[in-house]
Amino acid sequence: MQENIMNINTPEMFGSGFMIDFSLSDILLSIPAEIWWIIFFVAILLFGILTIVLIYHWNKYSFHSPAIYITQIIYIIGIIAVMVLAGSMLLIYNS
Amino acid sequence: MFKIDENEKLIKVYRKHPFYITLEFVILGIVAILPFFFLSFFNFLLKTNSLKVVYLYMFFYFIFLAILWAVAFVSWTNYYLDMWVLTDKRLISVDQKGLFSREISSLRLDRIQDVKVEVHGFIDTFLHIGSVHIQTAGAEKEFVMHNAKSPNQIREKILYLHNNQIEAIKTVRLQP
Repeated sequence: MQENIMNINTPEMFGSGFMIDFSLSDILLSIPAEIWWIIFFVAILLFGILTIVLIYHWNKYSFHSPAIYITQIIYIIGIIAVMVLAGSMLLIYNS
Repeated sequence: MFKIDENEKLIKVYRKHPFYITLEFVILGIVAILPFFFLSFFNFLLKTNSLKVVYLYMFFYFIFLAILWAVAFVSWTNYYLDMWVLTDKRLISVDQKGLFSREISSLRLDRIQDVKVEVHGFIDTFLHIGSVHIQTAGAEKEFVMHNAKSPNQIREKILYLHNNQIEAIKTVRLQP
């Protein structure tokens, strides 16, 4: 009975075992590593632009408050740490 | 940005209550750990013979964390740069709307006609959060600060400085 329901609800082109055979991991593994590096460098570029915009705002409109200096340090350390970790994961994936 | 005159004295800078920005950070923290819950629900999608793909998922996760990190700081910027600057002569409202839009307006204290405070709800009452509305003489727009910290104190301070300003004007007029 359960098999019949699967046969009815699964598109013919995928076959009856579509959900059982489907693996996102295998699809991701089939994508060339260069694509992930391009995504990584685009992300670095976008975060770099955003960082410049934020620092510009903080320095222009903040009355030179000490809270802003601490914020800048925390933000920069955090964003660099996360991007370095992302890059490391990609390096290990490629090796 | 804006300049305070030489004969003008800065009294205080008011910002919104930190409760709502803290709440945003908590929500972002919850969003940051959501992928681990999804991983257990959609495990069947991720199944593979290669362990290598785990590093690829970690790569996605760190990019996701970087986005959340940036969102948190953009929110913080909006919170921190959205303020009321109170001087002994004026009230300057800086309304930060996103990163590239800000509105700065100022109001002479002697033109204030009414200061109204609105507090709604349990959390706002408990944490002393409210809206301060300032009505001015003439057709100028109403000054409003939503989610202000200790709105009654702000109201009292503004009314005190308003009265001082009115007295100062009267004194100047009475001098021969």
